[in-house]
Amino acid sequence: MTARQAIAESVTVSRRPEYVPDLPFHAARHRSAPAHDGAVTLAVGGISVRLFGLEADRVETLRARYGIFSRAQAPSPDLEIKVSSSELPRFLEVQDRGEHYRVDTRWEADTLLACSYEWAGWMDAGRREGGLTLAQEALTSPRGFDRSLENFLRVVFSHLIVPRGGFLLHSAGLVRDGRAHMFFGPSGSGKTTVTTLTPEATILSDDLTMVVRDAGGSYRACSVPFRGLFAPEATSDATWPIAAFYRLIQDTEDRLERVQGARAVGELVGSLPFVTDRTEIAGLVMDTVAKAAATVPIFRLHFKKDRTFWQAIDPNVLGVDGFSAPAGIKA
Amino acid sequence: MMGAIQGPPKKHPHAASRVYEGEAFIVLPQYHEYKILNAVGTRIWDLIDGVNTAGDIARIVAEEYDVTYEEALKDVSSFLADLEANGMLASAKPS
Repeated sequence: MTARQAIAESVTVSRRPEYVPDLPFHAARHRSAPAHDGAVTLAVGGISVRLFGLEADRVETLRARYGIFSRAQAPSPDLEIKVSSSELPRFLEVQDRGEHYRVDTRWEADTLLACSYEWAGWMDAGRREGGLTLAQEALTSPRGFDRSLENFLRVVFSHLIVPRGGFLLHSAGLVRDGRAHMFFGPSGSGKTTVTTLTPEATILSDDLTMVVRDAGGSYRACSVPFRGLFAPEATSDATWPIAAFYRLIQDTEDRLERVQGARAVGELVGSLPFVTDRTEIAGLVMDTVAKAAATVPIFRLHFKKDRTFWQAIDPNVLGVDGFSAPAGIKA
Repeated sequence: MMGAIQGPPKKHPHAASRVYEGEAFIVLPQYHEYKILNAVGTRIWDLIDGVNTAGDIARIVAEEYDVTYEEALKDVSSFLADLEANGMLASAKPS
């Protein structure tokens, strides 16, 4: 079971009507003075987001939670998000026991609106402004607060990185000999398995990793602070050159199969969170992913759940597209 | 298969598409799905513009792929019905 499923299962199924805040709801909160003075900035993959209007103890909680990604200040954040509260107990309702953590998104002109069970938010990247309103269930439960902040920030960063040529990818990012190997696929495909089978690697994540495009057009990977409620904290915010992307397929043999063109784009697009939920930016997302697919090799990795899959990877990946085979890589 | 497409087929407004190496990649956000079309399917997708009828498309396909008009019309009509069943045409499932 994934963390998202577990979260949804831990709350009560309800048939109450849902309240999905609209733009006027958010605009009214944005105009009012912030209720508190506290602020914290997160910097991930070269993007900085400042949250303000926070109580002092919330600031400490967030700094502790986001560790190396938190900053006391940033000179010019890419987005400033005002955090406010609502008297409503919650916004969306859990409609099916076992449903995946639900986030409804929609665009109104240049504004992205997003809403879930305990929070509702918006962002306008062009104006560098956004807002997050927390319902009572997020304010009265420390876990609810963490969960709400984290899920809204996932939406925010997944949308901010795309116009910069990168994307968030549901993937295990493993660094070996200075290069990031990105294993992706849906829940249950084996991301955590390949991570635990590679103890010598530097682990960027076993679930969600950021892909960034640098000034030279090369692709690099880095950790993100969004790790669910149970995974260990990231220890580095460094970026690493990406060796290859691998779509995980559990099989009875270890085998690499190169995919290109529409199929390569499709494999990656299928593992991007949030940004393909709406048509408005789907074209931009496809263009962004296609550029990465034209630069970094993409494979289907058939593997049999032991570490012998590295024997299929090493000779194939370390000999293509200019990658040299560093010494010492043996499974 | 669904019934024959009435009038000129039109792409669903929620379907976003690009062509990579001769194959159309189509994202359908309303269903959280994507589809990939082969070369002939991609050519037909390209010809769906809300103006060309199934007959117009079949005439072009017949010329370009050296098949009879009757064969082309049968295949185009079947393909359009598949697109509609998969929510890729404007007259398909409500969004």
